[in-house]
Amino acid sequence: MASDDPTLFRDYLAAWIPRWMGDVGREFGLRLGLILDGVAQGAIEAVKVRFTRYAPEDALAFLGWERGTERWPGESSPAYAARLQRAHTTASKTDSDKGVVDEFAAVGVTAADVRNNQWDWDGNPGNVVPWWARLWPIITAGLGWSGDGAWDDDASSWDAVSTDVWDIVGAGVDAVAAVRRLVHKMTGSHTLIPAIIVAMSGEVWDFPLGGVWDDGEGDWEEVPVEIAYLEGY
Amino acid sequence: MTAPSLESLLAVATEEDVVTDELAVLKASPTPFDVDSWAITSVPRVLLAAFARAAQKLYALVPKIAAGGFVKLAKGDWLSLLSEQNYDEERDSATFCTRKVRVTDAGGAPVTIAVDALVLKTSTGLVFTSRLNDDGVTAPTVPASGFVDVNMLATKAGTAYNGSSGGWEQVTAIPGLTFADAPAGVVTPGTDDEDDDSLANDDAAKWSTLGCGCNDAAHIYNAKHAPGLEGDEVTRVKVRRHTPLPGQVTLIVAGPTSSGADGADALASDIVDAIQEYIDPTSHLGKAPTCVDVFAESAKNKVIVITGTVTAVSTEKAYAKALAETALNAWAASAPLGAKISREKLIGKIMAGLSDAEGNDSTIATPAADVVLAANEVPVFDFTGLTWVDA
Repeated sequence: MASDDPTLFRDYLAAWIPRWMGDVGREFGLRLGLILDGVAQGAIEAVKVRFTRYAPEDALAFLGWERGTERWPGESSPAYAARLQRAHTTASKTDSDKGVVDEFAAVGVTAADVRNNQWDWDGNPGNVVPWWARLWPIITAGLGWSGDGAWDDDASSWDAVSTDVWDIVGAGVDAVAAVRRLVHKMTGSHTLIPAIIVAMSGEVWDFPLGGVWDDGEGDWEEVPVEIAYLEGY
Repeated sequence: MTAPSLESLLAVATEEDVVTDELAVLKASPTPFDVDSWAITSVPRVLLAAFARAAQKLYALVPKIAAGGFVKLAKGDWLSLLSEQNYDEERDSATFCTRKVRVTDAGGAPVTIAVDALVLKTSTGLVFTSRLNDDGVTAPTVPASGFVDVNMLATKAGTAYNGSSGGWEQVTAIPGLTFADAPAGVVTPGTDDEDDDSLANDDAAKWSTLGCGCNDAAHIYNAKHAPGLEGDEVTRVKVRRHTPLPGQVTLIVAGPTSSGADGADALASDIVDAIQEYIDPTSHLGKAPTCVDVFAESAKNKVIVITGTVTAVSTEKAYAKALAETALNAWAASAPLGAKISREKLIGKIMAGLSDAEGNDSTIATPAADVVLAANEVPVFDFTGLTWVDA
């Protein structure tokens, strides 16, 4: 770098010191320049820190708060930063089926939504008031949970804060709460969610293999199947 | 190079910190400076101190720049700029207090008071000037040997002008008049500039407007931003899903004040109507997506009667009583709908202004336990049954 066009304070000050001050003077100027370079670099970092690409670990939480995007349990910093970068797109998809599915996918969870008119849950199918607003998110992979091998073998209830939610093994309180909050955030307030279904093995009504009802076998057919329910809204 | 942590960028360096850095850098030179031998009054140390004084001003910019990029951390003008540019959110400016002052003629002729013709100040020196009558057209006239309640406008904005006048003193020189607080008192309270926390929350809430507008966050945002609202009438919103029917949504709304009878609406009907018009999909202003029925409903007051006795040393009693009442009212005005009112916390607020002096004590009869509000209720504290006595 030419001394008549310095971009670093240490070069500028070292060059500015008169020759009669000798090497000691030059070194003194250079050292003070280092201090100023440190400040300048700090200012640069202070600007960069607000951007998800450069944000250090402890800045992510502030960006997450601002963007209404909480960190998924166990989510790595790069993954969280990437999701924060996409927060605008995510927010634009709230209140939609795709929003729920995509946001689950962003945290490594495979899910689908089933609406009331797509299956007969309890004898109230179709777009019939007041059942039309019902929706079931069905999670088929990515949570790392497993079933305990038996359906309804204990006193577990439809209790979203339980660590043993209807036969789930490995679902901590934080993870269960995070699942529910994600669904809550990404669905409309008018959406009635009887349950969030977690399929840990097998195929639930053609998920994940065949989509919705489309192979003509729509049934609890792919035995063995282990599913669990998290309380909805 | 490893990026510095946000915490390190937010650290504020003092001049002493800068000098320490300077000495360390000089000492780390390939031909180290013998900084330890430099007396505090030596030429190089004095030069370093002078340099540090200037450099510290630059150091101090770094945390401001860093914080200025986050709505949760930015303060003052930095936050105002960030809010304006990134979120199209303006900081609500302070507003002026208007209050009624009763002006009585001592027996002379009628006096008509033009705008700004009468200037009064409170016992603490806060200045108000006269305004037109409520019709906005006519000037008030004090009848001979009678009185009129005059609108007086604060000369500066802010909540400081909302308090007790402590009596009025005329700054102008209109003879034969006396002044007292009118029964109507403060007509329009003044407000302070919106604080940083409130503005930051507004910014964050704006993200909810990017979706279809029908999740909880969007409903809350819409309820607080209905056209015609000044910006702070609605501060508390609870979204009740599937209410009254499945697939329908009811927003329970409340404001930043706490008063009124038990069971009464906590928010004025015109405010609720403005919200309803905004969120009604059939309205031309409708913000709710088509086919979604959303209803606005005022929260209900839940009066919590506080009875008991506070025994306080006489030198602390008045201060502690005022502090307790202010704290209780502030708590009630900000408590979320459906909150649990902790008896322990309540007693803590009552006793907050009292020292550990012997004799300070309280016996709170009611509430006898925590009070859990219904989902549509906000608290109103009635502390008229709380007696303060000298220890």
